[in-house]
Amino acid sequence: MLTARLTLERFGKDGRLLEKKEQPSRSFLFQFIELLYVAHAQITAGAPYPMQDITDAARNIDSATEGAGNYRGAKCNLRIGSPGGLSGAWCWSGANPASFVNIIKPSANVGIVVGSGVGAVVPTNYALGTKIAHGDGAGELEYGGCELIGLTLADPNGQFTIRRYLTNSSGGNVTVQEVGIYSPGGNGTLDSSFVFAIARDITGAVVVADTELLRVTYAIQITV
Amino acid sequence: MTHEIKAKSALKVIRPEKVKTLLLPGEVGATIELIVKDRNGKITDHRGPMRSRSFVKQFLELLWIQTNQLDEIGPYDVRDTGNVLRAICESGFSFGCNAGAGVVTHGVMVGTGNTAPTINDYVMETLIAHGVAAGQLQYGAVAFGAPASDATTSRFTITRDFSNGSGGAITVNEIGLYVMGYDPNITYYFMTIRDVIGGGIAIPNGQTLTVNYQPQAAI
Repeated sequence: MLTARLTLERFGKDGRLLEKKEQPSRSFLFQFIELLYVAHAQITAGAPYPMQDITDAARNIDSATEGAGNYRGAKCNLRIGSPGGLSGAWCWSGANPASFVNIIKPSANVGIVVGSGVGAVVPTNYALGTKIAHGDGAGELEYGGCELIGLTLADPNGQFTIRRYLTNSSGGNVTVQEVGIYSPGGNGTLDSSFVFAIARDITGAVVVADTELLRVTYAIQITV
Repeated sequence: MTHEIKAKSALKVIRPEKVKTLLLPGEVGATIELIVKDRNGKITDHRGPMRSRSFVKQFLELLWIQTNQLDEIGPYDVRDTGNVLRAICESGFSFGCNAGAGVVTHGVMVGTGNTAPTINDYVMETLIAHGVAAGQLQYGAVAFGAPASDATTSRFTITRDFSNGSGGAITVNEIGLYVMGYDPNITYYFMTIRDVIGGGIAIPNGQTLTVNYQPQAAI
């Protein structure tokens, strides 16, 4: 089985740990299973699979690539690692013979995301309740890169960590109530990539004051 | 002598409310269901659905590669079913298991080994070969049931039939899933799940085993 543990840590501007919350992640969503289905079934561009993206639009997704031997058969599906902030995340759509790569901006829309929604999680949630935007305006947080680190395997366990830092430069408090993971899927016919929510957890209020730093960690683990 | 088994692959639609939830909240895993039918389609044995215990390490490694989008400049070594480390990068082929009939490189696999799984398993202990000779089973094409969700659980289904035309009974003790991974030019195959079935499940000559693997996530 695969499980995940979610940790939120709040640091002062001097780096001192001010608060730590840990809980089991309960909430891999329907879209995670759908992206696994698209991969396992090798869904083709000619018969794509419709998924609901974070804007509540139906998007046709496939496993198509630009062709064996070209650009490694690249495909962005299930991507979580991401640059930070407003920079773009390159996403391989799998189009052939078009440009086959496009850019999701901001890359704060790929990887760990945080929000202020408090609605209960159901498998078909297609987005956070209310995503906190990247930025330094009121109610915003600055998204750092989303890192994947520490793959370790020692019978009977295997694990790796997904981590993102968020900084409050808004001038006021920002309250996080929910955390999730967003991941793209590609459409080889349209040469487009779309973003899907694959996990969402309700955390209870974590108040991040101005100048403070929030570290969000998902520790993914399998156990035989 | 050649034996022919006439059996058609079929996916039944099961209402979500009829499906037992076997995973705990927060778990991502799979269930296994085993159905043996005679040549008339009559069910002679039915096990499960039951928890699949055993994602093995190649599952996590392929997930690591794909979620990280590791490219050919910085691939990750994964042990294939031939016990060779392969430098694998992200691709549209990752996790593919849509094998055709008679294909034993990927898809749902069956074997006779009964050693308990470990996370380091990279191959079935004793794979049952495709064919109609003694000890062999005829591998059908892998079929898929589209994703569905109820109030707590999301799932899809991977199905394969194994027909016994060997002339004698065959007992399946282990079931696994082989999937694709890709270096920049070549597809390799990796085991991502292996389960041992307590006591095994016997397939008499002339009968067909259907294996339903159902990957799922519970909240």
